[in-house]
Amino acid sequence: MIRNTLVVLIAATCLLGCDTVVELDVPRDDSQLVVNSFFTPDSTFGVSLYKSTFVLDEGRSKPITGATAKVFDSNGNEVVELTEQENGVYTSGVSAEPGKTYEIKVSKSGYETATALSTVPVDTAQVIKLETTSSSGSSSSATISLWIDDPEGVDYYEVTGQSKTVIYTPNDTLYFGKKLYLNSNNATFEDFESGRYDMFFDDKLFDGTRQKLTFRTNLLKAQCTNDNAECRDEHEVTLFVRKISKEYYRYKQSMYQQNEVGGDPFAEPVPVYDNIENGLGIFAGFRVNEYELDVPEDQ
Amino acid sequence: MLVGSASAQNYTLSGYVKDEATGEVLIGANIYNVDAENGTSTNNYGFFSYTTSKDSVDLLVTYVGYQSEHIRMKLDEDVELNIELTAGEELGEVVVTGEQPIEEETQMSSVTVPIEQIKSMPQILGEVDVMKALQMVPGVQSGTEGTSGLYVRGGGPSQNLILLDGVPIYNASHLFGFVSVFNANAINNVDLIKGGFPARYGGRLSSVVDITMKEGNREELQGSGSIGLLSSKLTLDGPLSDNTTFLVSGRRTYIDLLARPLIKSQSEGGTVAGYYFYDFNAKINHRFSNSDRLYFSSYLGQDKAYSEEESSYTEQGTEFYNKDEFGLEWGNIITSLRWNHIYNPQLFSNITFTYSRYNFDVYNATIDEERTGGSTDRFSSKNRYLSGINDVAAKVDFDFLPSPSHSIKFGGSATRHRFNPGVYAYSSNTETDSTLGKQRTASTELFVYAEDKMELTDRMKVNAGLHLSGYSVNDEFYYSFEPRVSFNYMLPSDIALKGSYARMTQYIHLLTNTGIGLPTDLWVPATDRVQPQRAHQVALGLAKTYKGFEISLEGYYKTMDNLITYDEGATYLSFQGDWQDQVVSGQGTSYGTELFIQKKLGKWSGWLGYTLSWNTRQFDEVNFGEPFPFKYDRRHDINLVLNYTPHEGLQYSANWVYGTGNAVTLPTGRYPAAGTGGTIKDYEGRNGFRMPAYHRLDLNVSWTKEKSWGQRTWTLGVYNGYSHKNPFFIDIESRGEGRQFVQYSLFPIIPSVTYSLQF
Repeated sequence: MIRNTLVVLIAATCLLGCDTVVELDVPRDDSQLVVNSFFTPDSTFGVSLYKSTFVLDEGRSKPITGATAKVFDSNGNEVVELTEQENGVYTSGVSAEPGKTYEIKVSKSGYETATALSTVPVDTAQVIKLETTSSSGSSSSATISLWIDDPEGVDYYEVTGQSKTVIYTPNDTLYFGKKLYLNSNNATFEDFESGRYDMFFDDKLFDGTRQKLTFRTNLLKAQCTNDNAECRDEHEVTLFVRKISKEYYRYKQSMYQQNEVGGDPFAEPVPVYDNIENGLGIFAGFRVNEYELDVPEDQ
Repeated sequence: MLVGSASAQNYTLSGYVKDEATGEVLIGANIYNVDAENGTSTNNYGFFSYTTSKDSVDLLVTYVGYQSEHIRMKLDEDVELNIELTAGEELGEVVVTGEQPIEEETQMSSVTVPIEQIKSMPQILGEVDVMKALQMVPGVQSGTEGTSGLYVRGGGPSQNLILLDGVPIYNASHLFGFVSVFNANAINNVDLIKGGFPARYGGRLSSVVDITMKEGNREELQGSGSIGLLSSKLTLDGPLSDNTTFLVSGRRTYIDLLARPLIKSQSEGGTVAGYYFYDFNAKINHRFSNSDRLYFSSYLGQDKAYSEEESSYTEQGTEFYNKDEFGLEWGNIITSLRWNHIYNPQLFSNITFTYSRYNFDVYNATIDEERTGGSTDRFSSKNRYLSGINDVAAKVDFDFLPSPSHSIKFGGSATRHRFNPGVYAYSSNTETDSTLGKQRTASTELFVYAEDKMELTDRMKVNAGLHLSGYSVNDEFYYSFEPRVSFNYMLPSDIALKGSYARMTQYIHLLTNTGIGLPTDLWVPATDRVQPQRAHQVALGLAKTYKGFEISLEGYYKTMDNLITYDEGATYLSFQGDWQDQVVSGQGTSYGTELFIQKKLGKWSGWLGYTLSWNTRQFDEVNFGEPFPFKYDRRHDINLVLNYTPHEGLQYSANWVYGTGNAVTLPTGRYPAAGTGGTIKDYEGRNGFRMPAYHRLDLNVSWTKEKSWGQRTWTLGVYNGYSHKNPFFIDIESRGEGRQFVQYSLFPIIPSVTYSLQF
């Protein structure tokens, strides 16, 4: 309301021309090396490399080609050198191991070598029970309940979901997929009042205890029409419960905060956390559990 | 006037200095003994006491805007002397040039702006504003354009001890910070102290704004009023009996009343919405005897924004009805009851009981009904959020004036604070009522003080004092030992060298996420986890009066510890979390130089102020622990205030302000986010860049004419006369040749007209 009043005031004065293009003393520094990589034992190491863009320049950030990207273990031994693919993506055939710390080093002429460290969580999230119920008598609205046994100490998690539908007709096979938009009334998600695709959180409110987390979502499945007897559809809803490193959490949290205050001229902007020495971006480990949910049938 | 025999003993002259026409006491009037070359001045109640060993005095009694009074008398006993000064014909030759010359005062870093000068300054929409006038003083920065908060020597608005008749006011603004709560028609005197705080003040770090209400005309009933674009005011004061005077003053905005028919017609009668504020001041002063007076003063002010929307329609035999209500209210109530007692000509006391309350309340309520046949299906719900603080306090102050060389003040105070740091309540007819929020917290703040303003030699004056305070909250007890000292050493050529040191402690914090003084800002106590704020300030300066110009040059250095701010990204207080988890504490440093040249009287009056200052903050958890410029760090700040009165009944006035652009956090780059496809803005540091400079010229002209019933004045004014586009915030947008920094401004040129009258 208060902010709205100020916005109305600005809008009113803007009738007389309140906006002006101004020159500010913001230096056009050299671009920085951006290193983006999340890694897990369930997948192989990969990284995306970009050049950061001056804030007033148009266009997307350009990928970096011709760089050298290597992953080392905590003893400084090289684990793998990543191979360049297209668009600044570098991949490998090697996976991380649980509980281990890795360092990435990215070299590119014209830039200082960028480095970063992160550790893969020892355990996956201890999900002891999972339950899906339909809400309001409709199969499209579902409530997913998750019981987690949280160990002592600070832990970080992320919950995401996806819904896939395959429709078989005599002539064709159609695939539909979408991420689940999750809502929760649990106090842990107080900040995410209007819901998110990625519900990341810490265990501050339930450290060392068993916690039930409940999410509401809309599955909105694609399905065969009633008049097509030869059509068959299959649905698959998957929940991903990640145990994430502190770096992963801080990156997500600060990115969320930056977006939250982005349109508010009265709020102090939030810098996004990065753990890249001599660069920007994130190099962070996580563990993941996948759960296929029993989706309630249409009623 | 009085004749007595000579003797070797001391004699004391004491009494009040008042306006001859209204009986209103004159605060800070100077009583100067020409023979002895020393003197005294009246306190906040117009009382003075002067003791001499001589058997005669030659007193010159002066006060800004009044004709001086010369009193010669022989003394053979203590004398009670009530002096009445006549308001000067502003341009008359008999008018003296001021109260105590600046180089005579021990107090430094203080400013008194005559209330008449405040009234004549041009202001936005013609709304006279005490706090905005104080923003024009060097060392005081304004915050966001148009708002009335004071940023004194690098401090924030919550660090100002704003006293109305001795009672602290917690939220001194109406209209989301754009108008201050003080109605100038009800005010007698305004003092601002920025440093060198005397021991009698405490509880805030950065300034004291001591505002005294008028007492009311002793001679006859009088009134004044005005009709402006924003609000109308009416003040009445006068005698209730020989010994009792009263003053009542009210102000209300009326844009809501004017807009109501328009809104109703636009919404076909279903919507009512508006915003208004009002305030009301009242004071009664009763004199039991020359030694005993009782004052009761009160302030009540409220802001309210509201909307109510009703709709109904019928479909297939079912009537659907909906009603939504929204309200946002905040306001202060303060009350004080004060007993002045004169024990003897040298000892004056005040016993005061005060109550101060600030409340913020936002609510919305919804009713949905479906009426079919005889049955009604109804859903109603109400959300409400409340916060506030209230204080009950008792205070005793003594003024002891044993000789012209010593002016001693001592006393103590006890305050019980009750904090309500945010309660959210939800109720509906279908669910269980719920309440979220922190428990109310109560705390007790105590202090005692003593100070002595001493004249050590002809050239050296010192005010030394000690302020001891304690604060009890839950199981925690904090205390503070605060030495205060100021000196004035007279150099040759009547140039005063002044210096001061003050240590200050503030036991309450304001949680604010914008710094623009919104009513949602929340007062919270120091706790076992969040320490009280503390500050040290040293200042050194020179002062001299030269040909009617008071000139002062001061340098200061101030450090502040245990300041709090929201943790990065925590922009609002959440209901479920503990506020203590959402704040981080750090420190601030401020230093600078201030030049102030003031002329209080004559055809031309006004001042020029210049401030050169640096102001930083450091929080371990913010900006990666690196110090960063405070948002209102303003390297250069210039204020020019001019009044020109070519003849009686016509007055021109102008303000010109210039300030280095506010510090602002801007991104320097952007890059892709991992995993989401979004873009991240890269910020290199908080407040690392500057907005363009701020400058503005305001002009006023007023015509006053005597009428058979009194006096009327028309005032025309313009705010931002050359319509400079001043920066309010900076955005990045695609314009013409690509992405650009775009500055948004708030106020272009704004004309105003005010009609005021006195009867």
